[in-house]
Amino acid sequence: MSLSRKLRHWFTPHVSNNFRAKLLHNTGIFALLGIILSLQVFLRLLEHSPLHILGFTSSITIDEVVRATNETRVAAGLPALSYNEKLADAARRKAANMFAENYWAHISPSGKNPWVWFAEAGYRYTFAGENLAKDFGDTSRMMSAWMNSPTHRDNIINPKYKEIGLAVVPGTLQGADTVLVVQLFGTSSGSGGAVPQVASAATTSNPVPVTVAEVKATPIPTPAPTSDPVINSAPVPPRFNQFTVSRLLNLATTGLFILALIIDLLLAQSKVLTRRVGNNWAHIIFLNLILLATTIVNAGKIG
Amino acid sequence: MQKSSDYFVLALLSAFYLGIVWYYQGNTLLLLIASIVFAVSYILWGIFHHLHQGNFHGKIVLEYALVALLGVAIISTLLI
Repeated sequence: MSLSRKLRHWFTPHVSNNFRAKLLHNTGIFALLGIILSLQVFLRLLEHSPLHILGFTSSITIDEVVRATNETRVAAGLPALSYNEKLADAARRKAANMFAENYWAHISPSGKNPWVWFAEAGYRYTFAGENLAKDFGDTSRMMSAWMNSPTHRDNIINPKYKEIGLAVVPGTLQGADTVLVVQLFGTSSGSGGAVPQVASAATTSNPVPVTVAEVKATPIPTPAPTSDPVINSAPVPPRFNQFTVSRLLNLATTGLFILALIIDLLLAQSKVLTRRVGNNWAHIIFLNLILLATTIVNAGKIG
Repeated sequence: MQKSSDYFVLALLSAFYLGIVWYYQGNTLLLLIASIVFAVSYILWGIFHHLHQGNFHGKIVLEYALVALLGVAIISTLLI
């Protein structure tokens, strides 16, 4: 069978396929399903192979996140936060601990809450908060996810905070390559006399952000100078992003199927074919919605 | 008239699904559940639609089930 005949057989209603594009037959859809799943399995194997062709890439930088946070605050009529190196140190310590203890939560499996890192970095506070994110490819998607979450948004536009510290750390968490973002907010105890409030931190698999921290009654000792935890705010070395490749492959294969539906629909209407088959329009609407959803969903997670 | 009401129901299901995807775009588990519910709703919609049309057949149900499965496979490979 020549190529043109094969294409006609798979994409147009014809006597050879009982006047229904072969790709739209149940066997054709089943084959397409098999191809999509096989490609995904192949991509996952490639991701975990030592070839390092596929992996996680991210363009998030500390400067970008600070800028985006302050732009959001200014737009909300609040003063910009100043970058505090002690808070950044606390964020780096938290990130290092998350990789070391291999967890995704506000409180570590060994029971360390976020305020431990403030203390270790020597940051005394009256108010403090923490936002977490991982697996995001760029700053704008991560910021959107935070702003779409009421509790994270409350941290970002909280008028009680005056300072910010950040860590953007690539690494392997729970078996997957990622870039972990720890965003800490605070008001140092010297800069305000607000009434202390109780923290609401909780250990969950999908952590909620902590908004306001309890003021420590005991003085926080300044730690002895130590070498910094493993820190690297530079973007991950360029590789193909597994999530983007998966999304493109899904878009391509589904696009092909939708194309077959449209061609089949138009030709069946022009030839006035009467067939007992599914509704092509409904399939087109359903699959386009799924495609739209794939463009909206984030690879990233917030906490 | 009956046909247009079928499409109105499909439009409602679609709007509800997109709303959930938009609002909970960071919640993987919820998105997965919403996608599965949407796919099952689509199969049920297909059954009722073809019953209304008077051209219901078992092969058509299988076709809707496979298209729904295709949709779930596409979104779940990005979520899992």
